[in-house]
Amino acid sequence: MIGDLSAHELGLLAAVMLASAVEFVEAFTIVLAMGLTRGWRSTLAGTAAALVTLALIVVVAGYALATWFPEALLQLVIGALLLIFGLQWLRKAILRSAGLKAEHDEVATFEAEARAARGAAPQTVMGLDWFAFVVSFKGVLLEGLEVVFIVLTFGLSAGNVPLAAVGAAIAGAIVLAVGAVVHRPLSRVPENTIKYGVGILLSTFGTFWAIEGLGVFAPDQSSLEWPAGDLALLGVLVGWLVLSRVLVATLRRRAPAMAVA
Amino acid sequence: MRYLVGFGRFWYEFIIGDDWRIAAGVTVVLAVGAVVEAAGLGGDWLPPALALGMAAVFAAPLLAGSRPRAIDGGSVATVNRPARADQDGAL
Repeated sequence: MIGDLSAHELGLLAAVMLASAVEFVEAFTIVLAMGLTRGWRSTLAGTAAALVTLALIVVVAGYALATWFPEALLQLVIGALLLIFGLQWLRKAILRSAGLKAEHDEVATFEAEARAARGAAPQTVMGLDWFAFVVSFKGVLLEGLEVVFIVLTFGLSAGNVPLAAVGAAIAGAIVLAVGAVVHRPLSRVPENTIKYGVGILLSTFGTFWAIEGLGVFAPDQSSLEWPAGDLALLGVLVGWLVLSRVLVATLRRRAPAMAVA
Repeated sequence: MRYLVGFGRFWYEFIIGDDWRIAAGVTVVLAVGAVVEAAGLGGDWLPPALALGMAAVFAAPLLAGSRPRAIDGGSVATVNRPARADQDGAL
């Protein structure tokens, strides 16, 4: 099954899985904090409600975008969004690698959420602990929207939304399985390293597709062709990787000068 | 109105994030590409040239923003100061 996938599709699957895993880890922290402090029934109800909402968004937005937009325009708009989104990830990962930005701390997030949950007044709506329901719903929905964004942008640009959705589902299942076993925040996940890799992948695919999509301005409105076709993806990936390493090294050299202050 | 503002802010933070210059730079590079393509001047050189442009608009604010400079009588400051984890935003 995996062997039937092209290099392009494997890249898509890996990128979606990694990006989704990071978001699922963050959502899991919030759900775990609510479940352990306020009880699992309302927490899981909020989580399920958010997942249903997210699935509806994928179906409706995916269908609408794929149906109404010409391919080149879709590549341009979605590629540009993906590129901007990916460069934000890459920027943060570079700053963290250079020691200029604090690492994301899942344990601290868990403790903050648990403290808020213990201090919240009880309020029951339709038989549910409303605080646990709303916090779980919002947490999963907000982190899940990033997953939806990644699934739709990757899936539509590559013409394979189901494969992107499968990648996200696999990542979700892995995070859930590991989380269920360890039963505490997944703080040992090398989040910054994953975000760094995902930032590179999002930026690579975003650059490739956004530039291809500029063909919408050509007389025949067909996608632009990169020299060497899909192989150019590799060149773009190496380009972003080299640039990011140069930036990390440069910024790291400047970091001590800032620490003097 | 409050919900509209909140909705707009959510999407701004979601897509644009902490540094609007990245989004602005990407938009400018793509606009240049669009003009070149519409004018029929494009060719094999265009995609790599635009990719280099993307790299430039990404690197420039990072390098400029992290350059130490003296303010307030000699203390060193930078745009990219170490941030607290709770200021991470959506990521």
